[in-house]
Amino acid sequence: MTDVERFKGEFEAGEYVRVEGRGSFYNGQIQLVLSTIRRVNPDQDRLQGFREEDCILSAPRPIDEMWEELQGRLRGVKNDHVRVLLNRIVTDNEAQLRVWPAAQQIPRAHREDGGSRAPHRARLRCR
Amino acid sequence: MAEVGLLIARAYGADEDLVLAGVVLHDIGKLQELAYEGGAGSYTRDGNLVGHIALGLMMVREAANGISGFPVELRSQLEHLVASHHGTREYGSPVEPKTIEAFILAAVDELDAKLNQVRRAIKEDPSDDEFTSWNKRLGRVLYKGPSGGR
Repeated sequence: MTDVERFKGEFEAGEYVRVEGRGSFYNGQIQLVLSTIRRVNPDQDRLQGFREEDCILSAPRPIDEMWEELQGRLRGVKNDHVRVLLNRIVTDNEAQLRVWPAAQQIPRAHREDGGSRAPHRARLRCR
Repeated sequence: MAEVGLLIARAYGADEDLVLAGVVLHDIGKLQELAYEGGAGSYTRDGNLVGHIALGLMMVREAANGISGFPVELRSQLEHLVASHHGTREYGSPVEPKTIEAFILAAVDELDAKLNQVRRAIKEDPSDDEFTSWNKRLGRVLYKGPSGGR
């Protein structure tokens, strides 16, 4: 695909797209040269193997299991003040903590964190 | 991080509650630093203008101030964990670790990040060689094992 400018306004970040192209190895990196790109039609493309869950980065363990582990660790905190504070912050932010990725990388000039690691941050849709 | 941090805390006689608090809280500001709309991540206005360490400090202070009788000294220690977890000013921490627990947290966070980079570099290297291609971030090639780790 040579006309990147023409296509880049047609898709929003977070949309699923179906592409056809050719992969090759160039200068130590895999590159993908696209010949076609279109928005995924879930009903139609599901028949050909599209699965939304394949596009979601997920933690290796079930989120409920990891959440219970976190709760168990919090219950084990002996200092009452620390335990109350942690419970308050975790509870207030439960919805985000359950679905956001840990240390998702968005390039910055300073130190970059690694991949998923906290037991309570698990998922992010692929881009 | 919690498992490793608590093991080290026990080994060195550090305060396990503080280390666990640091593990849970050190990146909590990222919840306000980053936004995920439609699956795509981006920096929020506060994320760009304030950053996750300062945002995390504010979240911890607000929570502590909302708990009646929360000790000021304990609040300072918790905030120090958040403030110093990048280890050095060069890496964005406004202060460097000044407590045993902060040293443990910064070291475990650094180790965790580094090992994730190594794992990812090995996993994503496309060749069948024993070593990965040059990894600019890590400044080295990595050994994948015989037969390229296949």
